[in-house]
Amino acid sequence: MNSSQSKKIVILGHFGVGKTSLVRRFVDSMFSEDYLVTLGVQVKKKVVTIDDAKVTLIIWDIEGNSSISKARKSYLTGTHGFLYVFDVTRPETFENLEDEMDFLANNFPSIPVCKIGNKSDLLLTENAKEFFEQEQYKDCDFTSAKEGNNVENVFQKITKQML
Amino acid sequence: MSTIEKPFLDVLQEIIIKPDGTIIGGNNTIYNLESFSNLFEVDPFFESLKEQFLTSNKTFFVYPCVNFYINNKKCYCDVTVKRENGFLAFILFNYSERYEKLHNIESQKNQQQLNAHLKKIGATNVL
Repeated sequence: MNSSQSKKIVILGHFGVGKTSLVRRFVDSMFSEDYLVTLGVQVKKKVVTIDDAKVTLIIWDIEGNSSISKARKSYLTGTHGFLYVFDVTRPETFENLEDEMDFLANNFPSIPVCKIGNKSDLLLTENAKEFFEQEQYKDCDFTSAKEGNNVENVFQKITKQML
Repeated sequence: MSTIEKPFLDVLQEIIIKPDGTIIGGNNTIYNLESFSNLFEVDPFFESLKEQFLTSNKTFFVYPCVNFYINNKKCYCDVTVKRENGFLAFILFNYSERYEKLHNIESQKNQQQLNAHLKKIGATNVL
């Protein structure tokens, strides 16, 4: 395995789902309660170690879109992996999840995708937890950028899938 | 000969590199590149393009609204890249003034929607 490989990850999802917060938590170990909209794209990087190999993750945190088809194509070109983020408290951010996955499968076949339900710290009721145990959410991962829960794991997971 | 006006002089940067990233020309209008020899080491954005230039047959690349942090200040640039025989030409256009206005408008609009949602679910802050 090449020990100095570099991988591009694009973070997708609606506005306000916490894409930037996830990246800040992962790269800078920080969290802010303040909401700041992302315009265009901010690119950050972090080196991770997977099975003794160093991988440079270059993370494209792009502006929120209600549909991936509305994202600027040049942002998505050349990506090695996608993280699709939704907000577990806002149904409009995950109700078209299947269509979004179809779009990626058709336009970026063979590029791995991880589906992430963020703000899991706000899943307070049993009903809410049971909702995400349904079949269509079985392969989703749940994170809290605020508390840091599972954030490292999802980046490790997508990195392994990209290698 | 009268002086020719150059209205974009302060907002345009041209950077010429070899395919391996070595900087071979340009100016320092937005990024001061004096201390760098390779563009791919200047910012992760440039670094991430390296592979695309090696694997794509395209000769023209456009990346609108790229967020750079220069001297701890955010700068929004539209980036255009033209591939020529043996070199790549980057044109950075600093559109910060325009994008900052848009940023404020978008932030307010989105914040209103998020606040309405927070009120509905009874949380105080979810981000």
